[in-house]
Amino acid sequence: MTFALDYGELFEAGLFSLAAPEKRSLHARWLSALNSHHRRLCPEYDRICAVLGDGVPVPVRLFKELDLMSIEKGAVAKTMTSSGTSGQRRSRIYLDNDTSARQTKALSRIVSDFTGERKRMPMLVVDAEGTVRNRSMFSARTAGIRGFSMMGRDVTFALRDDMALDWDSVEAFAERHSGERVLVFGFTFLVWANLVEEARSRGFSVEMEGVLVHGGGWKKLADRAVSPAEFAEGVRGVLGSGLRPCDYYGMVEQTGSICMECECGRLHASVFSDVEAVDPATMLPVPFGAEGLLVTTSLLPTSYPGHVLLTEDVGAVLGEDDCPCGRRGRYFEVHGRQKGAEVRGCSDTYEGR
Amino acid sequence: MKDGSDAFEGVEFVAGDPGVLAARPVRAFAKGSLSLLADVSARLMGDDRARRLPDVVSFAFWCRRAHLEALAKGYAEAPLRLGRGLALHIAPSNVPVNFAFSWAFSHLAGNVDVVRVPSKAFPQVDVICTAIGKAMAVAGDSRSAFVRYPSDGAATESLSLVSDVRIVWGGDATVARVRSMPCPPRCVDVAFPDRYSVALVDERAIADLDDGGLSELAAGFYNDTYLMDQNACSSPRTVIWLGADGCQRGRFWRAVRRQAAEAYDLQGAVCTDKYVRLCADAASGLVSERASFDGRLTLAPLAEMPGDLSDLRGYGGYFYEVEAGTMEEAIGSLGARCQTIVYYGVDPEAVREAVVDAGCAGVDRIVPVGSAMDIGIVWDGFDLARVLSRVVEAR
Repeated sequence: MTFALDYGELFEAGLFSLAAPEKRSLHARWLSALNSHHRRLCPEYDRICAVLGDGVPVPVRLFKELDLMSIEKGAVAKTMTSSGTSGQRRSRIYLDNDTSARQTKALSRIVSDFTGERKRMPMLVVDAEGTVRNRSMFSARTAGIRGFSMMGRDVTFALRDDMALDWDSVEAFAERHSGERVLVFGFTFLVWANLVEEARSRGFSVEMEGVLVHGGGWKKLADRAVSPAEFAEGVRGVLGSGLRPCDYYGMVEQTGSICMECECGRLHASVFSDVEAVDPATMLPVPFGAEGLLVTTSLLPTSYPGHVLLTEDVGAVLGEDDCPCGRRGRYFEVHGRQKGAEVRGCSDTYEGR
Repeated sequence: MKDGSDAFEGVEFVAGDPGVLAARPVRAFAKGSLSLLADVSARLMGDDRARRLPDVVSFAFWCRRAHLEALAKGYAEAPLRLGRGLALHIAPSNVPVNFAFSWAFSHLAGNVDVVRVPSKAFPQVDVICTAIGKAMAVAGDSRSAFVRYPSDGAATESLSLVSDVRIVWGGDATVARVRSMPCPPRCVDVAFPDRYSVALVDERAIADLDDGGLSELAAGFYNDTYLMDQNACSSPRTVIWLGADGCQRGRFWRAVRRQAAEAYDLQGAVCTDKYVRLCADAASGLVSERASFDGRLTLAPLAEMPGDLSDLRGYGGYFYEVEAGTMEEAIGSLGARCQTIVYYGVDPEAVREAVVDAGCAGVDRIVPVGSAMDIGIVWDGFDLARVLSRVVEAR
């Protein structure tokens, strides 16, 4: 008898309470059901498994090259696209109503665990309202803001449509919610460059309390030689010492099941997700602590075969079940994008752009 | 007299000077041309830095006097030929010594040469240009100039206006862009656009090899492929097996893999690219279920012989393989873009006959395993000494 994908069960399981053996058996059962679901409904995925093996990770780049879905075209409720640099093809992720709702629900569960609030919090978005107004484009940034906004109330934008800092808006928000815990959300680089640095240079500051959830990667900040400690200090200086910065790792290809940074500075996989670092030459796991290419699991998507993905990020799984923050499951760190290939060959000349 | 006063705006001279535009072409295989190349060869052979760069050594070896004199024998009519005039060379950016061969062929044909060298700081470019500059100074030769300018520079356009030959290496887009730039009506374009290559191997011949012979074959195949990240036009992308018995190819691939494990600097991103390609090839149904991922050597057996192999472009150790019942079947799948057939255990004359008999649109070169990268004065089907010079007829 085949196991039905009963998400009720999954949402009842503790987010961070399963010990490794329990989580492993739960995930084995779910992944096997998800594999057969996607193999039955997505012919491309079925052929990939036939050649490379059942349940092998699908490279995120494949979503740029192929339209991979496990639903009828008519059931597509929305299409997510990756931000992708100009000139590159964007990924296309097809969501039906079920997958989309499930992702939203999981996201809210995970974020609550880190904010410590079950109810909606006043929310300051470090971005422009114009970024979300565009309905036709569902980029990673738009999706992130929309997803998180559902968990907020009095959603206020900190930047104008030209991405300049709207300090009046920030100050008014801080005043309105003085004494309350707030949720600040934004992309790491925007938080730093467009809010922290800008406010600092103009001598602005406010006192807020709560959590700053930020994501999108450190690459641009590392280029500017900004360390996580410096980032945290800058944030506290401008937005208040009671605001805890909390990084997260997520991607449009697996919306919802994000991994958030705990009080000990580690990213945690929840019951909905898992992470493995693999050696790109073999695609086999490397030991805890060793750097590898990250393979991420999400039990949420049923509308497209994105339950096991090969990312293009390198990082290391640091441990399992024993983080001092008390959360069980794996915790890890992300080191950045895999370095691009430098390749010889004669079909590219320097006349090319 | 050509007016090229503005032609070199924004250009850096690596060797030679703007005076090159005043130079005149000479006879093909002129004594002076041979001597200059031989001097360059001697200088490189005597340079410690050059001797540490294998591709510079092979260039130096190619233009040694004995080889040039032997080569000249094949052009008995050379004294009746004159270089076409000013040749503009656009060399590929990521093959360090290609520019030097391009220049040497044209110099032998008697042309005045302006060579755009790769903008990347390859030590090979520096070493070779230094040797050429010194040889030119000693000979009082001002027939060549080596230049560098940014890819968006206007120099290709202005130099085109005074060129009698344009030699363009690189991708289709580069060829198209240079072709779109106006040039004198008699200007001849010699273009080397995107090509691909295959290997044709008779599996029965592998059965006869002992371990030593097998690793020698594997080393040759490694040089044909991995040495240039399997991304040169002449690097085989697909192996077509003849006389298939299915048992020997495993031995062959294991030997190639050993070579790659020893010598190839495997980048993580190259592995990822191969994994993505294998997934895409599996998803489209192109490869059979016998394929499997191995970052060092990924084998992608085709589900069936495709109508055209042109689009199968693995790189960095990603090999398609397919069986052909007959030589004719093998050749039937090679389109106009196919440049080289690298063979083993197959009679090259028989391959040539089959290519010609079939009126094949591609296939310019049929060479043994291990020789794919050996560039020569006959390239991509052009006899460059002849194409780059003209006959002055008198009767």
